[in-house]
Amino acid sequence: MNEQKEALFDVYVQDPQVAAQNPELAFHSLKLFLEPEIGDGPTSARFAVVDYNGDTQELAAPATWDNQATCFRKGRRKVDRNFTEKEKFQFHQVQVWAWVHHALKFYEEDASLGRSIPWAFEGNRLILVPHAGLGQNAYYDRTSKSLQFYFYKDQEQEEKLVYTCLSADIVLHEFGHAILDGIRPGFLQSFSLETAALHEFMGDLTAILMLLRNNDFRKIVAKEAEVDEISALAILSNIAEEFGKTVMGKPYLRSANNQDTMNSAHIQDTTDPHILSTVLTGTCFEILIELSKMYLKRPQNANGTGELESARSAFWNTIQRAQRMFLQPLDLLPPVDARFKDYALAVLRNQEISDPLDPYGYREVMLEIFVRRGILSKEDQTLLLEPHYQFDLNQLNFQDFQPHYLWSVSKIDAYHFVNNNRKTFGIPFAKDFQITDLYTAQKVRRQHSKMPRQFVLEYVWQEEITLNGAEYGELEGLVLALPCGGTLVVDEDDNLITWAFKPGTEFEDEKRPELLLHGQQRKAAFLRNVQGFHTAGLIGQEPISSAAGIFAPSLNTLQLKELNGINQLVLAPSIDLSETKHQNEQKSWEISF
Amino acid sequence: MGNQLLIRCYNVGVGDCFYLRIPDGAEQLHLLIDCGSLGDYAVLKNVLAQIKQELPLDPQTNERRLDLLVATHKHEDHIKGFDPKSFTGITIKNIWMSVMMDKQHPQAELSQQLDQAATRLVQLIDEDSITNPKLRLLMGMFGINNQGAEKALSVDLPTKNRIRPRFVKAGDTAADLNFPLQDTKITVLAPENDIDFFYLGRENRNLVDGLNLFEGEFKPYAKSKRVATPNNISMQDFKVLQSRMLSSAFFFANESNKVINNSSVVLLIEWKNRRLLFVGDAEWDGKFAEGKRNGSWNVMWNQRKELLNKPLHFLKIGHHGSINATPWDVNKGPEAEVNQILNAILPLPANGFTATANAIVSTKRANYITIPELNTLVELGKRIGNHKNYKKAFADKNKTGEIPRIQEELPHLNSNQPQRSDFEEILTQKNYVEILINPG
Repeated sequence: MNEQKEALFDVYVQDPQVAAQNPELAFHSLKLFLEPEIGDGPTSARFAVVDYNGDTQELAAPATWDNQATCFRKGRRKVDRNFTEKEKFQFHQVQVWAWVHHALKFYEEDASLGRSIPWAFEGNRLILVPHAGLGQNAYYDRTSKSLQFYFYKDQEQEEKLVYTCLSADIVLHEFGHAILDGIRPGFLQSFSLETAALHEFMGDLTAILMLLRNNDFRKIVAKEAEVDEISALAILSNIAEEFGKTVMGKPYLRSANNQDTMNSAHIQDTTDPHILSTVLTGTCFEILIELSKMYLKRPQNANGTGELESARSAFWNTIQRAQRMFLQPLDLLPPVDARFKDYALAVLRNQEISDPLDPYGYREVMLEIFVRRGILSKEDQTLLLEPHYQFDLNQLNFQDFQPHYLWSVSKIDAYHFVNNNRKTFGIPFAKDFQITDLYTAQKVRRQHSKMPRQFVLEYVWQEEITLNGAEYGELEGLVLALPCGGTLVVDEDDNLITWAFKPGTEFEDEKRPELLLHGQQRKAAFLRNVQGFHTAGLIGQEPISSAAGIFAPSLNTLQLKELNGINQLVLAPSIDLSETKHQNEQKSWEISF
Repeated sequence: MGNQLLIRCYNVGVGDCFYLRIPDGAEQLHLLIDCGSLGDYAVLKNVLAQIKQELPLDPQTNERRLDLLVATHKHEDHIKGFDPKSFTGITIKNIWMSVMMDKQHPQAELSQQLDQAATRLVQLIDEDSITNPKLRLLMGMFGINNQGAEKALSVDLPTKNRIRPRFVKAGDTAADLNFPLQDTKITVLAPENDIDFFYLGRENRNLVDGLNLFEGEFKPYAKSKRVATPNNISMQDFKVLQSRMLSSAFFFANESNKVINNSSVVLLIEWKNRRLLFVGDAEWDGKFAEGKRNGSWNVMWNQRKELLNKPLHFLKIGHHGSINATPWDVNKGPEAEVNQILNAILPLPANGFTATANAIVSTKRANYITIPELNTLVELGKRIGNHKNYKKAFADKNKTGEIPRIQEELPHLNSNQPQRSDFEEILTQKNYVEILINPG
């Protein structure tokens, strides 16, 4: 077997503005394993850069791949950090490609999801468009299989364009949407602001975790941590630095270092998923900082002896733990309608199975923070702290139990397994459910020790809800889909890791009244949210279909899309280039994916 | 009848064509405000021939006399009919156009650049690939058809009539524009002279600057004009990608369209204690603020309030009855700026009283659900005297079956609406709606 080759590709650590202010954080060389098939564009197994400008309808010349020298070139010149004006666009192309290539590998590592991640669209190459056109925007668009990065005029500096493709934070944030969409495509069919906010959170989390992995950046943070904890926090949390400074006129878009809770007035009032997402970003950031402090106070030896950990080592340990702690739980989320609470429960469950003894009490620290932020309740906390069996498959009371090897190889086998256990899984008899995903993952815990292999099965169906009442305005009478479903995760010994379930209202079992109650609560929330979205002008018709695709000058946050005769609410990419809300146009363009 | 002021709205489909006859002293003034349509030019030609018959003979030229021709803004649905051939045998005494149509106007420079960029981008798009009527409509606004009409207004017709076209702005009066009148006062309420400041907004200024900058940065590196396909994705994937990225062209087009609509000439005609308002396609947008892309209604309310803030006797409903042209926000209370405007110009009558103001909307339900916007028309119907219950009107004439796209009309067919050019033609077999106004 040939040894896998690797090569270095230069990228901005953050963006040109940070590079100008702090030369230590200007460029970084990402070491990437080279796949056998890399080509011009750049193009690789999972990505294709298409440098197409939608405004002028022109293509820029692609960076060309030199297989001998394992580098990209423009003409004879190597495309790297020493680029000149002539190969500027090719550097942009390589920078976007290298960052997302690196980030995908990060997500697929066994310290993250421990599996290959598919895209939510048909096909396996995500298209990257570094210079999509003029606008203060960048977004993931499932329909066109693309991440599009726009550019805009710097409002503070004359004669300067700001390219969003040069901001690592923006690239990674948008890529986070593509990743989450691949992991849980059902989240796009959303009726909850929290599900949209979860997408935004993932974008920010991706940007933060990737930045923390950078050696130069960690060195600076560790150095700062020894002198000034606050400035270290500020560096960590000020994401999208350039974008924020130049567009929004404030030093960051969303600071992770916040104290927002679900009960904060501005969070209660918002209809903007970006704003709501700050609660979860802030929560995870707080956990990260708490972990870091715990590491800093801990002696190096497990028996409690030796010197305290250095700041650098403490940060590195924190980052590694954060990767496992925040990314591995994504496989434990329900397939639809995930809320912050679902994520918190998944994080805590993942901690429980990966570190059952939890000698340093991380789980309790996290639980405390989730409760303080209003994501979990005191009752949740009490319940979670009660003694319980770690892996109790019996709690599901299967009608027809089958070991994972009988259902985990094909979707139709999985269908039969779930169908034979409809009552167990709370699926109404009349519903023709779908197995939407079936996969296996090999994750690791601390010190790279393998966790038992996980087998994940996701199933969904839809309940048809008619909007009755004048409060729905022109939507009155419309039949909308309420997405329902569940995720079952077992390990290789058929231990139950999780069953995350979103029930409907058409299944009744007198022995499990909580299922129906939960379903009724979901339906009530669904109707309440639809009415609220309608009043806020967030719902639009599916834009415009034509043979060539979809066109619109702007899209509403949520689109009504008809599928098999049922209308669905689907999160739309923001393709509006303005940030100003005009009050007589019923649209909102804050969701950037 | 000779003492009454006549307003006649011709049914030209989606478009405007208003003919006015105003008794003024011993004379009758003859005005034409806009003549355009998104439909067939033949309709406009026919209408102009009819209008010609209404005009008096000018003994000096032995031609028919039109005292004033007004082009509120440059959109096709307002100026397409201004072909010099249709004005053969007509002497035009005055031509007024929006100051935005003056290509040399220094305070519209950036707005003109946005318009040029939008035109260039939209014209790059293969029109056949766009099936959506709303976007086709938008594209139509940037088509090449209009350029002939613009030239006719600024060069051909003035040359033939030996007059200087006037690019008018808020504050101008007929007297200022060398058009002396006796019993009539015509005042321009919009657009303000500084188009870029009031209607373009800070954000769009940045767009224009960014476009210009990128032209310089990107052009030298483009492979070639309109390259067929990149080499690393399929033709189909590229087509889908392109289609999703056309949004910016449409965004520019949309923004430019708004600036053009908002720079419509708005005329306040005061005649014998009567107040008539012709608003072109003036739009509203939230609340006035300096530096923002303001709506024309908001600018008028803040800059020309003393003239606007009184009840009207006639309103030409703007933009074919679309939601953005009548200052009324259903989701806001009476304190909202736009609702203050509507309450000032068309107050709701007290209980038991009937409103006395009149209004007409020139409209046609094309493939575009928001024109006309029925909630807007129903709200206007409460505030005017010449409203109509079209359900009853069609039933009385046994013509309900002739209502085009009736499913879209049904929710409000039984409500009072202003007189509509499209419905009136079906009901009366005449291609116009007219209103006679008595002196006050």
